[in-house]
Amino acid sequence: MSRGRFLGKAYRSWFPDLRTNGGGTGKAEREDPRGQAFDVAAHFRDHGRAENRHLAEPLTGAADVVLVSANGTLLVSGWLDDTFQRRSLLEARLPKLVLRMSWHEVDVPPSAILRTGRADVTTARGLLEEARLGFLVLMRLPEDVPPSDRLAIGVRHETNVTPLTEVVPRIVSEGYLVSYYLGFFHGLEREPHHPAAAIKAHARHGGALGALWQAHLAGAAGHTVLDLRSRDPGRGVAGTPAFSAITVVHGQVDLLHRQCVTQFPALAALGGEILVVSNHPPFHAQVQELCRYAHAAFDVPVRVLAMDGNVGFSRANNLAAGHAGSDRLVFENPDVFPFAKTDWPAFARRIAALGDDEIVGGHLYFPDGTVMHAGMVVESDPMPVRVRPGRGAGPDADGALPDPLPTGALLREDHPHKGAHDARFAGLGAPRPFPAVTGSLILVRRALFDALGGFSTDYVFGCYEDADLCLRARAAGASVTCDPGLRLVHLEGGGGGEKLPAVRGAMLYNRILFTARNAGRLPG
Amino acid sequence: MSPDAPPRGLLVIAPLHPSLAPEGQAASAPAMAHAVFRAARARSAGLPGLVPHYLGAVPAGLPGFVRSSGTVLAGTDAGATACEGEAADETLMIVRRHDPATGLANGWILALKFREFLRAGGFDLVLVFAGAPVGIEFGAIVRSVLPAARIFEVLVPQSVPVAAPAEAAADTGEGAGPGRSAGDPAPAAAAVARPDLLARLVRGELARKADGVILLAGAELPADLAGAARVYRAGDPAECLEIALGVTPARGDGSTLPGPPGP
Repeated sequence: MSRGRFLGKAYRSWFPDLRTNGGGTGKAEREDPRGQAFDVAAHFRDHGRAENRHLAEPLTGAADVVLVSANGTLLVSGWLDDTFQRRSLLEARLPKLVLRMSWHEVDVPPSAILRTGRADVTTARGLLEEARLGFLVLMRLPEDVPPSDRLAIGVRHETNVTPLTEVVPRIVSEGYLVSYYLGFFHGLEREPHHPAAAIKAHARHGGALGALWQAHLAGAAGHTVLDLRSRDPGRGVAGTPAFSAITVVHGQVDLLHRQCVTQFPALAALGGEILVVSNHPPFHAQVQELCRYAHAAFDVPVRVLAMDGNVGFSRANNLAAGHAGSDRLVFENPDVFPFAKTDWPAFARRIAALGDDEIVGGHLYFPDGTVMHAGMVVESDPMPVRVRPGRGAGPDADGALPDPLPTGALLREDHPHKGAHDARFAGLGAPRPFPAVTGSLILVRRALFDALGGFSTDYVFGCYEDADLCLRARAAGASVTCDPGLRLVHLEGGGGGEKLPAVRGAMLYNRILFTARNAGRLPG
Repeated sequence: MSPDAPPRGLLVIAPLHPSLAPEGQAASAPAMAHAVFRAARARSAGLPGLVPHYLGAVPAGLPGFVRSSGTVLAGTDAGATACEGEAADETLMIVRRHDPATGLANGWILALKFREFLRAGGFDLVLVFAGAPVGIEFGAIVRSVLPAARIFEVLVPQSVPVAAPAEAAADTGEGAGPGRSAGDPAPAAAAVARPDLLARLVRGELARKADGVILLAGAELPADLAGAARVYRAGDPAECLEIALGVTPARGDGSTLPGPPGP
């Protein structure tokens, strides 16, 4: 059998870090920690056979999306075929990405880079193995590097930088960038064992995203108030409502319309005032118009807080609580309605008897009469593999260390009686303690709410902040009970249609945050 | 009702007015409602304690009707509707922003004017004929303004078209409702075809504001009202009036729907 002629020079030309010492003999040596020398043929025998299909492919990559927010947070989404640089196709070695912007060079911290699967790139590059060729960067730019309209991305090899691509970043708002990232976060559900992938993403980008969300909240906290007080001079005691019912609306104006003719008049008849927070500027006019209607038709005392942007469930409710005229707060979702079993006198009595150190929820039903919520528990879902989140972003802007991320299980809030027939609760008259109650209906005195700091605004958009509030209240010595005398219908978001990817991503993001913060508060 | 009893105000809220409705539909809601109104008017001739009033709800975009520049309660005179020269106790209410998909209204000026109208009238008895292009919450508004009034929802056979609010509103976008622009397709068909548990819930909740539902001959009880209100059956407008006035004991006990009338 004849032997092939090894093309030593050609092989060496692909490896600029190989340095010959034998002229044209093919002998080569490379500086390495061990100081050992070897020839290129030996190098090929040792390393090249398993990787030679990539030898003709130089390091290649591209950026698909580059977004920069006004506060200097950079998001880069792209792909990088660095399989040759990896020891194993299955174990990603983080490339050393370098950014050049505004006449500055910035090394991307490895902790800000998340490698992801990119099936399209894998197919296009002709790879058989599922290599993780995608990458996502979310980081704050240094303060002395302002966003500009040109961004060059490269990969550093020792002192050399191989340019990959040059792009024109898009300047976006903080809120847009949060939504975009969370849409990507939701896309991680396509990854094998997606909770682990999400936890790793949380470890790398949680700090930057949290800061981004807070920057968005600071910029969108402006609002206008439409004050429609009752025309009935005899209502309330010296102008003080019996309670303040707070509803946050984000686009569900059809539901608000129906609340205006059922829920709000009933609450107003009990002496309450209504505070509606409109979290979606395009619908401000319609929300205000509907509240004007509730006021005109049923004499409902209502105030509308029209936010400059979507500040999420927590900040909107906290803000409305600050506007409340009563020290008794009723938080209710825009998809909560009365039905035949609603006992409004019992509702009024429970609000009047609300204690200083308790949070009270109710029994909520689906429109078909089955139970949606009768108390909430926190379940722990073990993960099949123990997750190593990796290095996080380190201390946040305030210097505080981030919460330890979950490694073996994720907490989940659960409604244990969901779907049950109401007969299951026949004869159940007394409130029962629960770890938490849903934020769809929460009764609490303002003093306790303020002492707890309100709903945590660290949770993006909305989800898990209700359970977080309840667990913090319990840790502070307050009670959390579910009262079967408070009965309403709850559509559980069913009126809002299909949730956007960003909202679903926020649910997963918040779940990880909730686990990190509360795992230590729960027994076991 | 004795001659010495204080006057009782009767308000009939109905779609359109017979003079505006298509001719040849004796069983249409405007015709039936006006028949009840005329029966009450005839009864008041011998029983001065009864003061009837007819309130016709007219879609703002009704073809051929004089377009109003705003949402108002428009009192009519004899010339405007040519209603037998006796229009002092009849009023037309021009309705904008009624959403036929949800069965609700959201025009706050209309609601405000309607409340003023109810307060000024001081009615003791209100009949709301289904199909009127007002929201189903108008019964609840009556209950809010006149807590002591007796309120009945009167249903007519559905085979008779009583109004075409979606069509009438098409040129103005009045029926677009919240969350939709006037240029969007009217959602009425989809909304009706799709089981809407919430719509039934809201309608049932509002039906509980009424003292009862009166089914005129041929009318069927919608599923969403079953169990939500006391149900009576009336053979003709005169009997409908009798049931509402409480003069004639209703067939059945009022809590359950009596069986179909015998041959």
